[in-house]
Amino acid sequence: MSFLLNPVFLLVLLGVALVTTSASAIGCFLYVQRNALIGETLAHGCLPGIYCAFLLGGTRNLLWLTLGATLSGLLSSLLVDLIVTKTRLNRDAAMAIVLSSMFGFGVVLLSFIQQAGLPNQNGLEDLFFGNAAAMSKNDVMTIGVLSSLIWMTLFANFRKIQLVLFDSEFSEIQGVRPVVLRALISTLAAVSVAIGIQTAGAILMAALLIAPAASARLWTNRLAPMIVLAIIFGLIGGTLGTLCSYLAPKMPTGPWVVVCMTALFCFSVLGRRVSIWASRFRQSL
Amino acid sequence: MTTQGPCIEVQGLSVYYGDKEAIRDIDLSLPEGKIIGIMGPNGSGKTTLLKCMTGLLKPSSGGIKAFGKPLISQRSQISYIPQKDQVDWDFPLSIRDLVQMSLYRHVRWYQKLSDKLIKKGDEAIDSMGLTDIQHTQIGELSGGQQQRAFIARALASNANILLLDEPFTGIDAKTTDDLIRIFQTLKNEGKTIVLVHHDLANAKSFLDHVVLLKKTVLKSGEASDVLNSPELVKAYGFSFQPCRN
Repeated sequence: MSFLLNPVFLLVLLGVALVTTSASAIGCFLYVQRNALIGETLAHGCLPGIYCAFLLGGTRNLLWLTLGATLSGLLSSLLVDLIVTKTRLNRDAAMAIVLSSMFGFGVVLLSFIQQAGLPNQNGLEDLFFGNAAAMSKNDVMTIGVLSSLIWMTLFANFRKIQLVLFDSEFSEIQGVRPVVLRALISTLAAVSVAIGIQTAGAILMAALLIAPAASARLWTNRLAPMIVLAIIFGLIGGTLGTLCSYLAPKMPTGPWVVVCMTALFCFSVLGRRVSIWASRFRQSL
Repeated sequence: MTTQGPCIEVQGLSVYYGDKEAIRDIDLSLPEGKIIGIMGPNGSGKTTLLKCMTGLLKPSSGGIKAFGKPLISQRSQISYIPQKDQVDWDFPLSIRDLVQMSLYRHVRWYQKLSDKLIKKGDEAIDSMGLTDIQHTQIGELSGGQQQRAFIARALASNANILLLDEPFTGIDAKTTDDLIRIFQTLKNEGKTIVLVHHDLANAKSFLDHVVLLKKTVLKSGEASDVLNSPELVKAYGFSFQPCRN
């Protein structure tokens, strides 16, 4: 267990914890917005942005790639909205089209980069499943700054976001602008996904957003406690996943984090059932 | 009974969704301190007119005044209670959270609600008889309790005009009577209740004023006049004899 004091392990653990906690918090808002699958669209949608950013800048600097990922993720989200408003297609069909085509475009761009033999391209293929162990100190600092921004924005706007997501018409009467707040949530979700791509990869990132939120919803009927619980589940899942990946060498961190979060979700489903049975049993006595 | 001035004045109001006409050339003057029903067949523009009164829907032409001033400056006087199927009842929110939503505009984002504001919210909850279940999630409430929770939110927001879209949908006869009694109490306290209503059978028993709509206003006035007028046949295409009063 000596690795627990290893600075490299602690750095990865810190990075994963920052990613999972901010994703869990923003995931709660996506959950109550009944927009859980947009996380999948954002995650797949940010791949072309990352590879375009690499092609334009020739660097793997996380902040630069995150900028590309965020813009590309937002473009995917806008495309979904555009398809829904301009065609007869449902939202789920629109998301399926956008996420698969953006992912396909991302793979084409990666193939181009690999065949062109460009310098600094090592590790770009890891973005499908993530490679948290490759996090550098600069990466963690970038993730820290961006997660702090997500935190502060969510905290400052919590009441307004809750109002808009529950009753956008009432919020408008109260002087809040739903369009602005919805754009803010999409942007924060896109940033959250972008900083998490290195940890969980484009394919698994959606689980980091939604699994903790879904687990927390089973335990509480109020939004603020739900967010706090989701963050705790995100932190536990992230920490356990990182530990597992270190205990079983050569196993990637992202999938382990997702497995641990799924285990927490199963525990929540069972625990909630047991607590309902227990309360019925007490009442019957 | 004292005669009050109009609280809502609608002038030349028309709304089009693309090429499709929803309502046209609506001129109305609604009295203050009354229970007012907007009635008409399906697709007659009732909800559209109500949404214009909230300021949520911008009319294609015409305008609305509340208490003699442009609607936009009087929005704090108005509270809108949506149709039941427009609400996400699974949202993690208690009655208390719902009511306090209307109070947050009085404080900055980093401030807690003052004791005075919390008391105001609690009084609104209490006036609707919901104190004992104030921490219950809104989806776990009965239909009547859900409507009362939204009315409590409207009261906490200090609104003098309550706009309700089909408040009796999906609730039983007893709960309907309870809600009608609540509307009458609120009316006696000086509030104006404007509701989209479907049921011709009980309309005369509690509505003071009726606006009969079919894209445009067919008739507006005292409930007993409108509900006995030939325009009712014009609106619905049949004559109606209520079986209960």
